[in-house]
Amino acid sequence: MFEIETRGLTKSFGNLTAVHDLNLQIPKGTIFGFLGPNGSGKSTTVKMLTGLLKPDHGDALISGDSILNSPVEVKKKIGVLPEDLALFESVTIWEHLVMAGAVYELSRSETEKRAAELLDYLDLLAGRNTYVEQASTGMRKKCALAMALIHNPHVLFLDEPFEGIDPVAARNIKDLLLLMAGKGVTIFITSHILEIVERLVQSFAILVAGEIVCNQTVAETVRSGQTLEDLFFKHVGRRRVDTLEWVG
Amino acid sequence: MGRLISILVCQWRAYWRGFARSGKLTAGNQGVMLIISLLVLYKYVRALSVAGNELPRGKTAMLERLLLVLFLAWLFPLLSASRLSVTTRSLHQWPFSLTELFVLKAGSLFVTPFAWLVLIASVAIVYPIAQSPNPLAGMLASSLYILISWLFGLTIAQLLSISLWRKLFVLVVIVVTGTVAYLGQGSTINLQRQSFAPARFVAQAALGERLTLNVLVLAVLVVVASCIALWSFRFSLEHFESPAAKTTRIQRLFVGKMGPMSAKDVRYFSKLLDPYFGVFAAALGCLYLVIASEPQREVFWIFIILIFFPNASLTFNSFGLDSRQGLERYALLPISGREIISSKNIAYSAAMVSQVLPLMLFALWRLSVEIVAYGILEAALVALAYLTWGNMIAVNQRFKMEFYRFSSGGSPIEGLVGVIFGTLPGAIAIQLFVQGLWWVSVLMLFTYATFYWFSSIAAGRKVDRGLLITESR
Repeated sequence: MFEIETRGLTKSFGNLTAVHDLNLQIPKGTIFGFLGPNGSGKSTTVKMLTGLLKPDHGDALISGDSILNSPVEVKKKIGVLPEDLALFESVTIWEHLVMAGAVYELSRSETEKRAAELLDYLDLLAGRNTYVEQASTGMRKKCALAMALIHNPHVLFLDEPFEGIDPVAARNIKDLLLLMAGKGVTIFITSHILEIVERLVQSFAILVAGEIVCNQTVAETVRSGQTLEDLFFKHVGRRRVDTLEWVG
Repeated sequence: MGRLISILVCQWRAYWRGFARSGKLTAGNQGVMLIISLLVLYKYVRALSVAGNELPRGKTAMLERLLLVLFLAWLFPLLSASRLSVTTRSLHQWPFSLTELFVLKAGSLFVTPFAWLVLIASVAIVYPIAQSPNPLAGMLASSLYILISWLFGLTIAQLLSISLWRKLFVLVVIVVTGTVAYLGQGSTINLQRQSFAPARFVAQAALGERLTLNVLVLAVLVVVASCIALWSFRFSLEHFESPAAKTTRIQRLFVGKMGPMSAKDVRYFSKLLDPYFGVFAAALGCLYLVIASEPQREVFWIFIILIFFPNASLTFNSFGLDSRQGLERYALLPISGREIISSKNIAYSAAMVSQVLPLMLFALWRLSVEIVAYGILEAALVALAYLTWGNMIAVNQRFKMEFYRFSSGGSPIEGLVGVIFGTLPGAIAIQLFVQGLWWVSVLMLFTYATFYWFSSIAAGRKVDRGLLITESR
C-alpha cells in the first residue's frame, strides 16, 4: 500500500487544464520531490492533495483515506506548508502554534512544549510574539512549517520549503526532514532549488503543463549518468540570454 | 506629475475592473446602493430648495444643517474601505516624496463612486447660497468649508489606523457625548441654540455678516486642517507597525479545540470600527442609568437592543475579516464547517457579553435583579436571532472587510431584514413583560435556540461543501 496515491487527478480553471490525469504512487517513508517550472501545476496538485481544491476528476488516497470522501480524516494525518503559508493576520507566531495544537487536540502543556522546541530548533523562539504581518518572509515560513509539524503528521506536504529561508535554517529543516523520513513519515516537496532537492529526495517527478514528463528515483538518475538539473532542463527547456542585448 | 497620474490611472482601472468582472449591476448590490443613493440625493435636493427659500429671508437653519450633513458625509468615503488594490503603504517603497504620496492618497480616494456623490452634493450647496444676499462670499466660504470637511475626514481616517489614536477617539466621543447629555439635563444651556461653528461662519458670510472675519477664520482653519492632515498622513505611514504583540491574554480566556480560533476572531472584531458604536451605545446606557433620577426598565431594555445593532456585521459577514490566507488555513485544518461556524458564534457572543455586561452591572445597581434577569433573557433572544440570520447569510457570500474601517459591502436588503429579524424578539420581549406575559419570552428563547441550532447545522454544511475552498482558489 502506498502512503500517497493519486488516481487520474485532473483540475481545470476555465479553458486552462492546470493538472491533467495525474497518477502518482509514493511509498511510506519516502521524500518525494515534485518539480516543474512556474505555472506547471505543482501548487494546484498540492492544493488538491491537501483539501484546498476539489479535483474535477480523479481521487487521491493519503494513508488509505480518500481526499474526497474523508477530508477531515486526511487533514488529521497530514501537515501542510502551503504556497502562501495560510497564516492569520494580527495573530502572533506563538498564537498560531497554540491554535494549531488545540485544533489537533493536543493538550495545552504538550502544545506549548512542542511549540517551544520547534521554534527553538527553527531559531524563532525569540521572535515568537511577532505578529505574522510584521515578521520577515523567513519567519513566516518557519511559523507555517512549525504549524505543519506540531501534531507529528504521517504525511508532510511542503510547497517551496526552502524559499526565503537562511542557510542555517535550511540545513536544520533538511536534517529534520531526513529524521522524519527515517521514522516513516512520507514527505512531498515542491521546490525550485534543484541542488537541495537532489540531495534530499529519494524519488521525484517533473511536471510540465499539468502532465508528468518524468518520474523516477534519484538512484536511477545517477545510474544514467545524469543530474537532476540535466533532466529538468531537458524536459523544461531554457531561454537564450543573448536576446536581452540592451541589459547592462 | 506624469508618474502620479499613471498610478492614479492604475488605481482607477483596478477598481473599475472589479465591477466589470462581475458583469452586472446586481453584483455586490451596486444596483440597490445606487437606488438608495438616488433617494438620498432626491431628499437632499428638496432640502437644498428649502434652504434656498430660507436664505433670502435671513434664515440659515437648513443651510447649516446641510453643511453639517456634508461635513459628516465626507468622513465616510475616507473612513470606509476604499478597497484600492494599490495602497499608499505599498507605494511607500517607490521614489515618491511625502507630498507626492499625499497627493496620490488624496487623488485615489476619488476613485470610488461614493466619493463622487459626496463631491456632487458638496458642489450643489452653491444653489441655496446663490439665493443669499451675498452669494459670492457665501460660495467662497462654502468652498473653504468643504475643503476643511475633506481634510478633517482624511485626518480622522489616517489617525484611526493607529491604536492609540483610536482609543483616544472613542474616549473623546464618549466624553463629549456624556458632557452634552449631562448639560442637556440642566436648564442653563439650551443645546438647540448651539450650532456647528464652521457652518455658522459660512451662513454668516452668505448673509454678508462680518464677512471678512468669517472668511478669514475659515481660511485659517483650512491652513490648520491641511497641516494636521499632512502631519497625520506622515504619522500614519511611520507608525503603521507600532502595535506591540506581547500578549496572549485573550487567547487564554478561550479554551477547547476551537478556543484559540474564537480568540482570534474576538481580536479581529475589536479592529473593526462598527462595534465601537455598540460600546458607545453601552456607554450611553450606563450614563443614563447613572444620571437618571428614576431610570426606566424599558429604556434599559431598549439600550440592550441598541447595543446589538452596530454589531450586526460581526455575524452577518463573519468571514469578512479573514484574509484569503486565513480562509485557506481554515480549509487546511481538520475541522468541520460546523466547528468553524461555532467558533465564529462564540467570538460574537463574547464580543456582545463584553459590551452588554457593564450595562447589566449598572442596572443591577439602579434597577432590580428581576429586571436585569429579564434583560439577560432579552439579550440572549436578540443574540440568537442575530446569530441565526448571520449564519445563514455569512456563508452565502463573503465581503472583504478591512481592519480599522467600518464594515463595507454586503447586501443592504439582507442586512436590513437581518436587523429587523434580530431586533424583533427583543422588542416583543419588552412588550410581553409590560403585558405580564414574561413566560412567553422563555418559550421564545427555546424557539430561537432551535432556529439557531438549525442555522448552524445548515451553515456548517455549506462550509463543508466548499465555501472556503472556493474562496481560496
